[in-house]
Amino acid sequence: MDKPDTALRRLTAATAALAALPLLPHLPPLLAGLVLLLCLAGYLLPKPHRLLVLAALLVSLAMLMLAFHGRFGRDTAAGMLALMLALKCLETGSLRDLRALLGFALFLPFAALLDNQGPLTLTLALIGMLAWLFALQSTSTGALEWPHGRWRQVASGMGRQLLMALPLAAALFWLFPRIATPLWGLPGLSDTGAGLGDSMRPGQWLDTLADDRIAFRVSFDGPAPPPAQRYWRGPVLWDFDGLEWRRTRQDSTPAVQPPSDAGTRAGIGYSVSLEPTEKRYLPVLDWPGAAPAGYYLSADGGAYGDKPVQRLTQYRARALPSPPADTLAPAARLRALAYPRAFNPRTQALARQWRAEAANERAYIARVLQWIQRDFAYTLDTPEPGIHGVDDFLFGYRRGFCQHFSSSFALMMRAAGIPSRVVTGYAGGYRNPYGGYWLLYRRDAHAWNEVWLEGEGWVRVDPTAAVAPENILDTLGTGTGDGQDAAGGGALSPLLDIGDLLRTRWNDWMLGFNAARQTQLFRNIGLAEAQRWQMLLVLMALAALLSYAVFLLAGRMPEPVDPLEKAWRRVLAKLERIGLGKRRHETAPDYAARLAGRAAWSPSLTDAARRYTALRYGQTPVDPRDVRALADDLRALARRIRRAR
Amino acid sequence: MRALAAWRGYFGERWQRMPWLRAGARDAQPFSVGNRRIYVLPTGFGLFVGTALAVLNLGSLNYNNNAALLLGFLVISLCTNALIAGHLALLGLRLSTDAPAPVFAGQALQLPVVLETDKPDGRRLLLECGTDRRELALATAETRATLPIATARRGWQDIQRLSVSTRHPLGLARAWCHLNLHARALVYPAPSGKPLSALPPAADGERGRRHRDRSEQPHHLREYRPGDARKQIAWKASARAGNLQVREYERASADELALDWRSLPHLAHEARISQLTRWVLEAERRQRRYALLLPGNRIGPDSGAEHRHRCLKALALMPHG
Repeated sequence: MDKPDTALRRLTAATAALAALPLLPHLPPLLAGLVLLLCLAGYLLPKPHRLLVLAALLVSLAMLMLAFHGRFGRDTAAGMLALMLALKCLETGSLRDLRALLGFALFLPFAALLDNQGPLTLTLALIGMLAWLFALQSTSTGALEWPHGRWRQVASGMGRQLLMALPLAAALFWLFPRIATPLWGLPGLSDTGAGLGDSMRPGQWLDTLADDRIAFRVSFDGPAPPPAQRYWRGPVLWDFDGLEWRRTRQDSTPAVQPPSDAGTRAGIGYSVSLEPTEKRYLPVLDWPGAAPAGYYLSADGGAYGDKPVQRLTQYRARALPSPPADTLAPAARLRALAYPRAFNPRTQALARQWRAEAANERAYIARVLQWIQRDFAYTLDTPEPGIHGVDDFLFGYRRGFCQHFSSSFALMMRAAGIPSRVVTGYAGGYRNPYGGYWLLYRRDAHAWNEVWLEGEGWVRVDPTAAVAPENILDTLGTGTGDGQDAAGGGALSPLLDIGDLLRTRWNDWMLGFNAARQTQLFRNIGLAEAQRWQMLLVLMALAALLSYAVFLLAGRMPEPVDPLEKAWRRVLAKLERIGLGKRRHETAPDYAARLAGRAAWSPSLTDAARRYTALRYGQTPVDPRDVRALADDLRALARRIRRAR
Repeated sequence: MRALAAWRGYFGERWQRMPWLRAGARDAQPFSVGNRRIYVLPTGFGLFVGTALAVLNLGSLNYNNNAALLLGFLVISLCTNALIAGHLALLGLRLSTDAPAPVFAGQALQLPVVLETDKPDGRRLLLECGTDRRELALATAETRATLPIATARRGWQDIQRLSVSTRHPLGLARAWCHLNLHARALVYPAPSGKPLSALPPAADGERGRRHRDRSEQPHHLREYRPGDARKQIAWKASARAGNLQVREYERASADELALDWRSLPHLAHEARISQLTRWVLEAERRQRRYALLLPGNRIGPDSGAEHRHRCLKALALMPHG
């Protein structure tokens, strides 16, 4: 009993691989390959020596460290779980081992869903769970009877179980009390990834600008604003050290005096569905009137939360048509003018010279923008910056992307005595023609500048747009831009658009269900202000009812396939209904004899019972014609009983 | 695990003594398993899976991870439905048992069990009686099995109840029901000791078979009883009478074996019984007439299966020394 046969070991190894499947796309390819390899080894090889397993364990751990660069996070833990499980496939020696393996395999699909709740991952997880169920069924007997040629039966059995489980699962899903505020946070990823953050250095965004994943989806309440106004504000960077722009922790704390709510009635209303970023900021449309509910605005106009965005987050906000009236505090002014004097001497000299030649700040800014527009080119292919990065860019290669432009422009302003800062965020977007909403990809990440002009406040200036507006405001464009090309192009694009529309609906209806929507649901079915325990009570009553329904459904006698048996049972059921049921111990002729003379159909019943007994239990060979004739007679008899009543 | 085992041992014994866990009144046979007689409890593995699912769902609830919640609730529903399926695997089962044939102490009693079901789907059942168990699959409408029950000592062995259990379909829970038997089975003493030839020879010594036919006169004929040797059948007389007739010899009393309790004073109580058991078996095998002399009880002289049974039964039921 304790020594599982090879077939069972193989089945468990295959189940482990299937359970790990939804997780594999989220793991580094090296690790995913290793997991599959180990499962395959568990499938093909007998249990190896203990030392060999130990060696495999050490190698796997080393590769895990290598794949995650020695950092430890949520994804490292998931990778480790998958690896351990795959290793366990190698050394299953008893039925107990197999059970333990199956028990822990349960965790893998859930680990995958923690990272991605998309329909594909859920489908893969579901397949993994069905395989798990089949493995459990097979191990419960201790020996696998491989269903040769009975796969349809197995599949229909599985389908039946799934169907019977669905009502209860749905009831639990909708009615189980949800937790409004998380009790504990999610551990972070080992690599918080490229993209917008608290710092920016030239060249750092190359991966991000090639990333085709979706950053967020937006639907505007009214018509969409023109492209030149669709700047999605992220972290604002203040401090420059000659190479890198940064912001401090204090910059992300709530503003001392948040902007007044006066303007929030007007402006552009929109709702955003933000994919996980592992960062604390929310992209908001310039200029944010107020922070979305549950979040706050920082002094420099960004929206932040207390925790990183680790799951799909939906929020509503309003944008003001113009920046709110603001004053620049002396400390902030000094910060917005600071720059290291030791670096980029040529830039500093040029800025001072041009500022002296210009009549006012506006003229100076116009001259710089003109220069950039005339002499510079937009490209993602840039050399690595040297120690005087801005000098190299402005007077050397003169091509680059938003990071170079915004960084150099801000220095030009500061060196000329104009307070300025770098704003990171997103610009552009692609409109899904079927859903009417806008998609912003990670490659739409952008950096631009804000300069402080007395009397006007912070004014947005986008030097990159001066060079290549189509690259910034066009992914952009009005539905015919890079978005489609990058997404696969031409003939396939309607399919992709519809696919994304479905995904959006999935996000809204499936993933967006939470405590608030649940309360709404209860209110809709008349349970206003339902207490938690009342909800549980309703749920338990429903669960009991559903379980009883399953009990009745699953406990039904199997339908006889033999037409004669079917017809005979129908007659018996008819008689049972009029109170003349057959007793268990009675044979068919005895029963007919008991009912003799009861009604007009009694003689035919006696005749049918005699023939039924002869055909079923008689010694003579059965003629199929007799069977058919009797079945017909029985059906006729059943009809007569119905009429007689 | 050791703590669990100890806990089980301690409470297992206790539970056996609890009044509501003792076998109830004897069930009429064939016994049809009803709803109120089926118990379902999770196995250790089931508890583990249940805990894992609870933890996973709590995590999913905390993060409001709807995809994981949907999957988790689906698996939970599948598992609870499996409990119902386990219950249904036993419901409606018809059980009947038969009396097991006597065996010698140390051998296993073979309890015949017949299980009838309307749904022969090949599900696995476990028959248990105390620590004895037998696995079987319900692949046909009527399944016959024998449950071996270990015996340790001679005398009546009580078979209080039979339990039928299953881990169908997922192994997460064990469903079981008890069939109260209150039957007893006879266990003969285990034979041991010296062979019969070591017995003090009778008056004119043991005779060979070849002498017997000449010196002994057929005394009378009687009807055949199962267990009579084929050589004893009087074929001609049987042909005349129409049924099998067997010759009974009237032998000299010296030719009879007296298996006497008192002739073994040097042996311990149980050893005496075992020795006598062995002699009874050997005497029967050699088709000798023998008498068993026990304190306050004399059986025979006679021979044949019935006599053998009476002797062995008397030996089995000797008071335990």
